[in-house]
Amino acid sequence: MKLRADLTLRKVGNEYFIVEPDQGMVDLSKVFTLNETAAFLWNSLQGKEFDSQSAADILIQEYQIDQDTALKDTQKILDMFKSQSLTRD
Amino acid sequence: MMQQQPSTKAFIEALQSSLWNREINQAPFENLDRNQWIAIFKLSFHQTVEGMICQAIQKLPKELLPPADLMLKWLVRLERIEQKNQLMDTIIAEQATIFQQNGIEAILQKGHGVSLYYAHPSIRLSGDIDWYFPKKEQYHQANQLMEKLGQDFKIHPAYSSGYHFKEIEIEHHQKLVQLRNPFVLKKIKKIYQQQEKYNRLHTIGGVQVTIPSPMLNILQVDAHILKHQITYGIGLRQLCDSARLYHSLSNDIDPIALKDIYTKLGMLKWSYVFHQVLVNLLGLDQNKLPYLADKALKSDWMADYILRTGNFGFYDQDHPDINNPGGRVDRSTRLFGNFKNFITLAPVETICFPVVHLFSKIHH
Repeated sequence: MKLRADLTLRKVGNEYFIVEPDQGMVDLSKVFTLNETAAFLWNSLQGKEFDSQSAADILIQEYQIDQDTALKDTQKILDMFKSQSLTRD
Repeated sequence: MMQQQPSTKAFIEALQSSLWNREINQAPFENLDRNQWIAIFKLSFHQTVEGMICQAIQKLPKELLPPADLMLKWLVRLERIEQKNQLMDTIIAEQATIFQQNGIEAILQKGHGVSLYYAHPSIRLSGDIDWYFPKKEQYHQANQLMEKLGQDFKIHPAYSSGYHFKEIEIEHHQKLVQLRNPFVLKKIKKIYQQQEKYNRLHTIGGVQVTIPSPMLNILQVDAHILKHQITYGIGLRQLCDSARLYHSLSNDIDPIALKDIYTKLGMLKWSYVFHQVLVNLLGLDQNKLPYLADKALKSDWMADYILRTGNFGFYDQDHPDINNPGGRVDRSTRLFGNFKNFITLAPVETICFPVVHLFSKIHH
């Protein structure tokens, strides 16, 4: 899968946001807040084809955590990305 | 004076920070309450610089940020502006290709032809796409083409046409410098002929697009500002355009030649006051100006009017156009007020507005 290339991660204060604006007359814009780890993963995966394992490898390298924890954390984050349609297959 | 209000000071600081791509000074943002943030939010919309303000305030520390609900609205707006600018880039590329394929010489005016000179072009709000056609027959040829390819095509008064192309507003113009004084038309044509060899090519959306030469670019932006100041007003977005052009092109223009052009077109005295506003309000480095006035001039009245009335004067609280959608309120009072303000600065251009307006209505 790949992350959507038309969305931008923004840091405001200590928080991270992804805004999906609605251009219609009725404002159906969506704003997603990301924690530090999700934001790091978002930036690291930009423009790349990835799966759960390759995403977990990035977390292992950055945070020096074990494989199980990395896979569990990655899955949670990717589930959120997918459920909010922030990824493309 | 509006400029002295804490919310206005904070707004100006954010605007300057974005305009000059420099660190934001935190002091004006300390102790701002919710109402003051709402005032900044509204001002950024009224002046159509909300993308620039949002980009600047994102750099504030957490404790100085606006209330979360306002910040989110700003972020949504910023994202929309960036996405629209991306779309406009593709439309410009598509139309430029169509014109080139049909042997039509088209110059990209204002908007995207100016945002190229910003530190962050993608956050400048663009209303529409303006094309200038130096040759009359090619203007008509372009109109015929876009009557088929675009939607809602209309011929406008004052040598222009307009339509939608993939939901983006497009205008075609026969005049690059939109002054109303008919006695300077020949002079402008001559200036264009002398300058056109310095027109520049920029790559937009992968296609080479022609934009006006540095002198013509400054002239068209300033003339457009004057044209609107004489009637209902102009917002800070257009002033930012002028400031960025002076900043970016100061080494590429002949200051004596530009002063001579402004003298010939009856804009010189106005430009002294206008330049002062760019320096005092927007923080343009005075050394980037092509020439200076011999004496200090009062310019706060102009800055305050711009701040108070917003984009094309639509947000004047004393004359709320918002009460008359699609139209203007208190026309005669406002036009007479600005007539008095500008008659000494640009006399012929000011007098020409009522005359040309009447002629244009009869003619069309």
